[in-house]
Amino acid sequence: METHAANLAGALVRAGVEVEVFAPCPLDGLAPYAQRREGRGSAEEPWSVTWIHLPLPGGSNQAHEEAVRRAFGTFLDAERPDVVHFEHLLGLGLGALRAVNERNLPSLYQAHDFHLVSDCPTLCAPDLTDLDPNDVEGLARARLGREFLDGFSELGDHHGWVLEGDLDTESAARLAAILHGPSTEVEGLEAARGVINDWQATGRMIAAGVDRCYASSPRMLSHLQGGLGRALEYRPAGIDVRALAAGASRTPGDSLRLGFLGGIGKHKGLHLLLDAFESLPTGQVTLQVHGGGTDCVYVDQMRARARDVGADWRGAYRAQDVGEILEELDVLVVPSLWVENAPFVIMEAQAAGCPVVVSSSEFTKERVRDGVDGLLFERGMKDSLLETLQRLLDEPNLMESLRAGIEPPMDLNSEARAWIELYAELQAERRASTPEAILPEHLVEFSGRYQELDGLTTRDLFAQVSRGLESLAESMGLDETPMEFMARAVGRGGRLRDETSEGRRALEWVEGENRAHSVALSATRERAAWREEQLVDLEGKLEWYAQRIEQGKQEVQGLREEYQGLAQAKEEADGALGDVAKEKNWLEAQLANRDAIQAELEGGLHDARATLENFEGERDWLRKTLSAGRQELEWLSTSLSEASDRLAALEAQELEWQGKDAELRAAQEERAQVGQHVQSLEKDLGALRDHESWLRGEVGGLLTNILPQGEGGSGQQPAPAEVARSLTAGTRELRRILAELSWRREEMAAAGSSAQSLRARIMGGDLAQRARQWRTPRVDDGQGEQA
Amino acid sequence: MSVPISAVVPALADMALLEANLPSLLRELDGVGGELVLVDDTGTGILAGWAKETFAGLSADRLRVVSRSDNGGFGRALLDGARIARGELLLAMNPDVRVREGFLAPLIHAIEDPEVFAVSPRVLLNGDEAQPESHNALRLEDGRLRAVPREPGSSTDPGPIPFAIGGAFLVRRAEFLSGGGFDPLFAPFYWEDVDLCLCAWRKGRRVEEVPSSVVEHHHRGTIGSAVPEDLVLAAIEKNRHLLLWKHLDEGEAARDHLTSLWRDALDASMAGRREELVWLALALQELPHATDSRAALGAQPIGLQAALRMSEPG
Repeated sequence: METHAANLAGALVRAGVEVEVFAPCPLDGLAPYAQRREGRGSAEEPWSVTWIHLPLPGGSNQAHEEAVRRAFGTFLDAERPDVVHFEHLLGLGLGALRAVNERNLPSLYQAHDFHLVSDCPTLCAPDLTDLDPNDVEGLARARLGREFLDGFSELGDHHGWVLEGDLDTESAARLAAILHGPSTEVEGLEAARGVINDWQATGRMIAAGVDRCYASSPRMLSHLQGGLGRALEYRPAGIDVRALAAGASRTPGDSLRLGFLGGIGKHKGLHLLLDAFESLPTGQVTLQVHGGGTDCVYVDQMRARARDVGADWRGAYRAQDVGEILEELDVLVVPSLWVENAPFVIMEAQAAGCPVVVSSSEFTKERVRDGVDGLLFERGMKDSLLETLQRLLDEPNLMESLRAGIEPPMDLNSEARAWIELYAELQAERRASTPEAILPEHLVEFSGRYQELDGLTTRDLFAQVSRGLESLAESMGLDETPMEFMARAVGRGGRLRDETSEGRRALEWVEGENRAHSVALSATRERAAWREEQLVDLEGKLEWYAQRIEQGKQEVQGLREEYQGLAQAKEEADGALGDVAKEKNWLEAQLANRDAIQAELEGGLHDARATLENFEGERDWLRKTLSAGRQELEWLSTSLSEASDRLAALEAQELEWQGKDAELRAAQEERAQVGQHVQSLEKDLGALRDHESWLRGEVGGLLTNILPQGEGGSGQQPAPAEVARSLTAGTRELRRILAELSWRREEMAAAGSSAQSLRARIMGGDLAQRARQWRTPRVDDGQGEQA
Repeated sequence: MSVPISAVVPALADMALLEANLPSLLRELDGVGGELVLVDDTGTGILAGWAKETFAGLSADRLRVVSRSDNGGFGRALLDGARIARGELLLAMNPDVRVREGFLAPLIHAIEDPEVFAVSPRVLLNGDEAQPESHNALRLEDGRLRAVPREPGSSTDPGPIPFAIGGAFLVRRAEFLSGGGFDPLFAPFYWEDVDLCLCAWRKGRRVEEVPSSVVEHHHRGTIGSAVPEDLVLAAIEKNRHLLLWKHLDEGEAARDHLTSLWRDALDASMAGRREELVWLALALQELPHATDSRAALGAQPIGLQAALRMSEPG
């Protein structure tokens, strides 16, 4: 519990308010979130605190918030406060506020530090540099830096800070990298940013959830308002001046009496003061160091250092002893390295009339007017501190001047009275904003009694019930005392015992389950270890594969280059192949052309042979015709002879046939006509002979032209074109000959017809029969019927 | 002019409920020549005009409205109605009770037995046959009085019950008035009907449920709609204590009860069940009244435990 909260509780009690404080505190041996109430204050000014045993951080935030909500709710239900005044929410967070709001209680929050916007309420990084609450990354880095320091057991309870030289060079460099290095190289930074964002979101919800939100410093107010997103009001904190006033009557000593008072931690800068003190003239200055701390490593170092430089190490002190301590000092030195946002010790010194030498920050400047009621020096600078302290030695009137310039700080009682006014205001607001249920008239009295009882603390309620039960027993004529009834009740059993037993059984079941889970977890861990080994093995393999892949990549690169060469060669070969293909196509065209010519030649040859065969058939037919004509001629000659014979016979018969003179003349005329016809036939025969002769010549020439090699059987092979031309010419000639033959055939047919007519007219009988049998021989088979 | 039966209905300004439920009750009363007395417990007199307008056709003999000058609660309103009623029998009805046809005759018949102090119809919660509110047993267990539901069974004959629900029961009006109605100890509400009937049992009278008479209880428009739940619960639990303190008549039972109360108080304090402490404290505040009621009841021929046993079948 903060000293100011405890002092304020006392002041509120003095002002007539009942105060119940709820605060975290380690309660060794108790269950998490267990609560214990104990009395504080004096018999005249009693107040109580209920301690809650918070578990160490590490569990689920949500579960913690819920547990705090329940625990604080239990406290609220039992204590029935009218107003909840949050002086700090360290360790309690949003769960506490939720419990308040669920009960529709008015609430306020007084900020004395930056807890709502930063997980580091001092805004002081591990290397003791300032943090900006708006710089989420800076806060995240500081968080990681503190976690980094947790890894150094030799630092002890370091509180998140280290001084130069506390870490080895390499570790110091790593810390510097975490705090100030490139963000890409800070492991876990994103997660830490998430934590800070969540933290600030929670802070905003808390600020939004309370009815009023205050800051104890104007500068803090301006810093918090932006981060919390709501308006805050400035309310100065007061101090209990009752025990401090004695210091105002101090008498100066022979030497300048410097003092350090407060918690001893690195951020308080005691080492700086001891260094400066060492440099001050010996014998003219003394230094008392009052305080203690849990950063034992640093405290031990400072104790040793104090001894070395001749400072008076007084150790821890009680709050009520501050007045006496300050009485022995001329100047209080506050060499803090952090911004010192709520410097109560400065106010205490001022209340005791003791000037202060304070490291300068925007917050300390609110409390100390440099050169008026104290002196400011450059924060963290030993030389500046030394120079400032030296002024106190060198300037004889300065101390008196500063002392005279001191204005008393706000009295704690004034602060308490201001709060009480506010509490009343909040209650009135809450009543006004909570509509009262409109009850039937006959219930009003009963409801009033109910509300009154409901507003009692559980203690008072039980006390009232106890008294009532005592009266009830009496009214029933029972003699037992309350103690006797309670003794019976304890032995009787009841819901609490039942629930406890049930809870114990449930706990045993859970523990059994936990054991089973532990076994399973152990097995899982072993498995995980095995997996880890496997993983390591696999990672080795992976590395080997990676190397192989690299090699493969190089090989692929080589192959790729080779492929590109081959592709180029292929491209060139494709070009050449194209030419070859063209040539091939040309050759194939040539070959096809030649084949076509050959086929044409073969066709022509076939035609020529067929034509030749036709000619030969024609020739044979003509020969036969000629032979038949000769035979016909011979027959005609014979017939003529026979006709002459018959004519002679007829002439012989002329005598016989004197009356047949006309017939004779007709016969003579016919003989003359026959003679003319015979002459014509002889001419035709001659012409046919000539024609046969011509035809023979033509065919022979044609064959000679067409089949020179076939006929010749040797010599140079003619050019195809020449052969084709010859065949074409031969074919044309053959056609012409065939036409001629056709014409001749027709002529022959006409001659035959004439001869048949003649024969029929002249002879009839066998000759006519034979003449009728003359037929033109077929061209296709070359065979005609022999007459 | 006397009538055989008067139904008294104390009511607040829930006209819709009255409009829904009164007509069937009026029909039943017509059948036996009864009257309806509507007690306006609003303290504003609003129901008189409304009733005149709504039931314009009814004669003043059949429906009368009594307006209270203040809101006095069910017990007081019922007593006022009973006082001006003219019937030999008094039928107490809540406005959220809807009667089923033919419910009245079996009730009247059942109360003809002079040993019977009060009769109750079978009261079905929201009309559900499986939830008869009227079919209960009263037990004193672990120092605490509890009303537990009983299996209704199939019998249609009247049977004993420890108490008739205040929202629907029939008594002789003169008896009701002579006892002063419900004991005001139980203000604002609950357990007053149990007390009334328990007193009867302890005097050797009987209370019976008539299964052939059926009404439906549609919880609406009465306490639940006007009073916060925690206050209703507080009244119930306060009066549970007071009832015992009035009737506990045996030393050992009283000692046992006190022990239980101490145990419960300690339990509640330790476990944070503050409401139980509040209920007990409310009851204890009324201890002087409980003592007076106890004294007024005086020694009875039948003890509490015996009366509870008698109120169960068999």
